[in-house]
Amino acid sequence: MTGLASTTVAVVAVIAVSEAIADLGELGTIAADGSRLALIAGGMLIAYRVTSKAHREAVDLYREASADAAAALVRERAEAAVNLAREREEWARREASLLAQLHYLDRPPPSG
Amino acid sequence: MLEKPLIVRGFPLLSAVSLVLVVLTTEVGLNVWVLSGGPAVAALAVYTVILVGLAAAPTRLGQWHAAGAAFAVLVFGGRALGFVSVIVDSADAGDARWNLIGAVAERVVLLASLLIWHRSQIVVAAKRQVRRLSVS
Repeated sequence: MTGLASTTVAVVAVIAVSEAIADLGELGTIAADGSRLALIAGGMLIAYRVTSKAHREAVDLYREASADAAAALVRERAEAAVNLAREREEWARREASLLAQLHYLDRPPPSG
Repeated sequence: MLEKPLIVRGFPLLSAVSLVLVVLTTEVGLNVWVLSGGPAVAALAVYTVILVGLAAAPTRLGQWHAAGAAFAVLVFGGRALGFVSVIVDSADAGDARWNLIGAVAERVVLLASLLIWHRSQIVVAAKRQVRRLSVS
């Protein structure tokens, strides 16, 4: 709001000065044209810079968010892979235990 | 569902059409405060091209919004201040044309709308550009 108010005051001041000096001979006309050009060029520059800055900030923000999302996906997949490996290890352990029991049951009866 | 295309493509197309109509139908000659005649028409033409480009390819040409905002200031700010100048000159001549104040306010509203639109759409375009880059 302060920016808007100060911009309005600056615009009104430049218009008032340029209109006041426009009638003061050739130099006055040149100065008035110069101040008008400076006002419009300044406005164009501010609009360009504000919009460009918004673009840069948005690109950084979304790129960061995109990188975070990609990292989260990689982490999630890695955790799933680790869990799967643990489950497989557990099943392999159980299988080995069962095989050992079967081998024990299938053993030949003790002689004598 | 209709809001998005209307904001992204409809608004700039409508603005471009209105600028073309201004150039084609004006009877007093174009004036954007610091430019008049041919250069003023050229400024309007450049801004029209920017608006049409943004309506046609809002994501790919997203960065045109920065130049668009600058030309919005030149065209609509210039037209508003041109009317202010007419009011001041007529007041100096002893016949102030206060009836033009409405025209000034109208152009200030148009300028504010276009600046807000450029500022918000460049952020939307940035989001789409990043998404497109991360997908490809």
